[in-house]
Amino acid sequence: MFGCIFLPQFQLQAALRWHDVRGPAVVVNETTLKGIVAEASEEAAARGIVAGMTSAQAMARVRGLVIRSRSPAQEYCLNQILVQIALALSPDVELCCDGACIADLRCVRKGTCWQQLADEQVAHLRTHGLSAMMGVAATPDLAFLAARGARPSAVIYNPGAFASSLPIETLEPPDEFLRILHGWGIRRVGEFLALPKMETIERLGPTAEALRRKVSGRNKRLLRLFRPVPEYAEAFDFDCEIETIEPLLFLLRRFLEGLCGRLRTVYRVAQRMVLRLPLENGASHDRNFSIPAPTADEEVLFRILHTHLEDLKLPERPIGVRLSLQAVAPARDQLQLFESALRDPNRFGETLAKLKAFLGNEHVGVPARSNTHRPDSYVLEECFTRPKQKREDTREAIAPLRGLPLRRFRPAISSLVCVQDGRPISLKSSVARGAIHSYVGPYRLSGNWWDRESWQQEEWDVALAKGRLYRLSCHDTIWKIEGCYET
Amino acid sequence: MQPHDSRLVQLEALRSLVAEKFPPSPRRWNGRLLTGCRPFDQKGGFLQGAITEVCGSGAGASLLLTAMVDAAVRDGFFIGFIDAVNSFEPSDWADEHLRRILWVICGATAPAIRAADILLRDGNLPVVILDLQMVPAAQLRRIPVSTWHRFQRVLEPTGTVFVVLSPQPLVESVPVRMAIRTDLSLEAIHLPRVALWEHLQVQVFERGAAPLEVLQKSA
Repeated sequence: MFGCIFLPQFQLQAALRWHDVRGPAVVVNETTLKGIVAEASEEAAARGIVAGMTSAQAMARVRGLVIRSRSPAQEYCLNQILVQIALALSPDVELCCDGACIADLRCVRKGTCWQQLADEQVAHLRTHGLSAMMGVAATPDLAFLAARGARPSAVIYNPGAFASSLPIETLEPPDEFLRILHGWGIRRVGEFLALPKMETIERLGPTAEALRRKVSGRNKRLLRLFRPVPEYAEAFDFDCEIETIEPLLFLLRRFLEGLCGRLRTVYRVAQRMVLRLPLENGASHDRNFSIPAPTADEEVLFRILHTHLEDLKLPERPIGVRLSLQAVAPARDQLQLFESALRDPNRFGETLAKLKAFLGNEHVGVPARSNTHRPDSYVLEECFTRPKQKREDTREAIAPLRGLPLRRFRPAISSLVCVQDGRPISLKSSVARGAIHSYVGPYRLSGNWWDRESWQQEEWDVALAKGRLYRLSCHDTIWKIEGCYET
Repeated sequence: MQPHDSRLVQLEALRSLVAEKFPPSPRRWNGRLLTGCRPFDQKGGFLQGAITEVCGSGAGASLLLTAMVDAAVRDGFFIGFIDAVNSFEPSDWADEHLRRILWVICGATAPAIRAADILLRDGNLPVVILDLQMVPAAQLRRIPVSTWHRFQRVLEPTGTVFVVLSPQPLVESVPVRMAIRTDLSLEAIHLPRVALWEHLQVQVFERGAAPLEVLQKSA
């Protein structure tokens, strides 16, 4: 059997997604100046609005008509959702057109109730805020036809009886072909199938053969397999710029509910979140969030976003929001059941977000040495990585640390240094002054001599009276105190 | 793909359920953290769920940080290091040590106090160190006394070891105050850091055992 999941009024559903719209609505194609109606809601259709009208004509017919532009970003998201749900049923999936996806159900466990399966998928899509229909039949084309006529699900056991009652237009024949059939008085598929096969093909050509195949219960054509790149993203463009975070938070929560539901469907968890807020001046605010303990729990992910947005100040107002999740398989390393390196990694993630919001991203992190000998070079890495299994020989693996750690002055403090025979003998600055009792150095350092970033300096470690220890640097006879060991 | 992954998801769900029903207890070191640095361990180590103030020598404070990070590498935990004046120098540390440190660069006293508050309330890090060693005395005097009382209340249920490094006695009614002195010369710059621990002289004052004036003289 094959199953087809179908989203009726696909463009309209995509355009109205995340909008609370009541009453008649249409989606227009804005490729032309007039704005041509692409799809109309049932309520609008009942009042005489049909595809192909201009938006002005539609508005003239219905007062209070809601008009939305097509949203390619949302249509893409909807197709992704559709394919993902189909892939949960079967690895062999065909995206036959926008909003329609066929899955090969021959690998589904025997004894499965098709009606129940179809109802479950429809209900699942309803949780994403989508109205869907599903048809199950012996061939892919019949499943597609069944889905389009389902209310909201249909299982076809008798293809002949099902096809006979369908209007001939459902087979989507060419206009010329349809005109001929109408001329013969044929309105239903059953009437068309009743015509002698060979004679019809002789008169009407291969199109007639193709149409007969569509409704034949024996035509199990191969699916054009669709292998999507797994992507968990949602997007929304506001009608006008927003000034408070409430609408943003509302949307982000809805996004996360949908995305986390999709992650759970394929047994994945989110490891990273990317938030993008396009601003009215064309720039955008981008932020990457690492999830300390990857999860598909929307509450946890939402708290991280909320913490970030609470203290966020933007130079311009946002005109949209984009959210994407990077999915990974759940952690495979089993720590002790009651134990982890951090007691509550996700709460710790929120705390880090708070600290970063308060102090700035570049002021919180795990320090790491840069790949250079240049003094005061370091990088701050984002957060703790999941600790690897504890090694017994950890202490042996680490080289013992030598010398007192330096406390660096940032920036270095200018100093007057008296030099005799090439060595410093006294020091005068805002933090220290006096005769230099002993010294070690100079240590001459240089690097990047091959490019414009070249640098060089010499360093001295000096001791003043009362055991005060400092590090001095000299570059082009300019002396500075780089830091102190003991004050 | 799915059956195996679904088991992992179930395991994750079970772990969440267990974590919810049985909240993780604070890391237990029998109430005190022993770092492996003899001068500190002989004095009883660092109290969990309480403030320990370490005042005096700047080099002594740096060696204490070394001892703490060594313990973190040994026991597999992380340290929050709140650097009030951005003076920490990563190039003096091994990568293995740096991976155990969350460095919070504040640049002033008030943000450092706020950052400490945030980290202590989180309760995930078993050791938090607030480094006020290089902060001018005038700025230190501006820290309200109530701050330390609030920290003490926050710390008690978490079991976090909270160490305040200061140039002079600062925290009133602190449960444990340690005064460090060192007698290090320029040769110390090249000696193994573990060997320098032997040069530390640590004096411990329990709550109310010594008035601030006495400590100022000893430090």
